[in-house]
Amino acid sequence: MVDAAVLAGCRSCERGAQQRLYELSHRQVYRLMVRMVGLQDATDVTQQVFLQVFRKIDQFAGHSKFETWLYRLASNEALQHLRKGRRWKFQPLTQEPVSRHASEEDRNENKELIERALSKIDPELRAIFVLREIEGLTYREIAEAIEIPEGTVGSRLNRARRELQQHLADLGWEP
Amino acid sequence: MNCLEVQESLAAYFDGEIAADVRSIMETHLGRCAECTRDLAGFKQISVMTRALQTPSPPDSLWAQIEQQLDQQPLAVSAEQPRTWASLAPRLFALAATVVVALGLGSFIYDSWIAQGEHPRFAVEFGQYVDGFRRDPIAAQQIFLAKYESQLVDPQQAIQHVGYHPAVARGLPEGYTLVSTHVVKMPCCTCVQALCKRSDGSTLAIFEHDENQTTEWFGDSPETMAACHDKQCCFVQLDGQLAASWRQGTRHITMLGVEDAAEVSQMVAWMDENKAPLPD
Ligand SMILES: [Zn+2]
Repeated sequence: MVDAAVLAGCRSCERGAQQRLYELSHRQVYRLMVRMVGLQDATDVTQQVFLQVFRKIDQFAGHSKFETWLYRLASNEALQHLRKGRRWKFQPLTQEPVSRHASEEDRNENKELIERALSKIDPELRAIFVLREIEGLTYREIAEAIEIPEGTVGSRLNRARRELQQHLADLGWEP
Repeated sequence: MNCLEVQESLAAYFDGEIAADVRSIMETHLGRCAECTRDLAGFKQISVMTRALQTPSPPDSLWAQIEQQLDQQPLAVSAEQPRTWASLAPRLFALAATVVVALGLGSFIYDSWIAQGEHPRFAVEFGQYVDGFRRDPIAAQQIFLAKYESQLVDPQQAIQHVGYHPAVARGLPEGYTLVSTHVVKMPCCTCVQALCKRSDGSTLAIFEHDENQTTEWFGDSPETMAACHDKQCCFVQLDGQLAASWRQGTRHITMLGVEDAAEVSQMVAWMDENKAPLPD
């Protein structure tokens, strides 16, 4: 948990506090980035997110949870990265060549299908869906992170799920 | 509530983000509507599949990279003296004298990655790969291949991509098995990378490439030359592991994760014995 002491330390640019904040939150940021921009760019974008966090820490007013603010910076960074068009070739994790040994872990072909389906939907819908399903945010937190009205979160999740179902069906998935 | 209304609120219902009274109305509808119930089951399946996804851990070196960036901002003003080969020379000299002992004892000296070549960012990435390789070669391999344009090839077919038969197309010495062969387009060069296993299950990576790449790949990690079989080999001491590179015919071979000079000598001898041209 990123507490007030860590935040205060980050505000005065203390390296120890910055490192603590990183240790407490880098896994969730990286996890979101892998799903949003793909494995090959996830490290770079995660790095950018933390540089932004340290640069903008004064702007965190404490009205919401720190995590929600962090997800907002992270989602923004991911969406910007995708908009820049540097990576049109978003490749889901398991489409990449894997060695025979790694394939043991990737036995479940459902994983590959859902990753491919995820890579096909609109990035903003993807962010909303991932924040809900993987990060477990509430609708209010998603609304704050993505900066959309809370009342529209449900309809977007409806759309995300239906589009995912459609892509899965196109990929030959049978429930 | 009709089907359309239920469908509109289905996500909110599924996510538990709906008022209790609406919830009970929806439950009544779902109890007698197969279509809406099927949609709800679809949401559940997608949710289960998504939650089952696993994410690899971020590289351990990520914090160091961030720190470096944080440091660079104030440093950009004061002209920091770059580290040069000259400043490293005394240390390298001392290392050269002790390398035989170091090889035997496996006591390695950690040296941070400093980009010396033309592709500083690549040097950092390659450093991460090398660092990861020591801990989990298979995971490091996946991350490495994901970074660059790479293709899994049959070693005999690699010639179609690189214009030559790589050494591994002729097989490997006894006690080694080939796990995979990739043609990888890195910023510095296109190489053929073969992942091999020893009989004890440990992993070795063999790169074949056109130019000498030890500086580009390993930055300023300590190097020393030693004779292996009939060749001068460059040994690079990495954090907890060893790499070796030598000229083989018109190209260069670099092995990552080598055990000792004896292993390199054996590999050099084997490649020399098995260099007869293969039919194209
Ligand atoms: Zn219905």
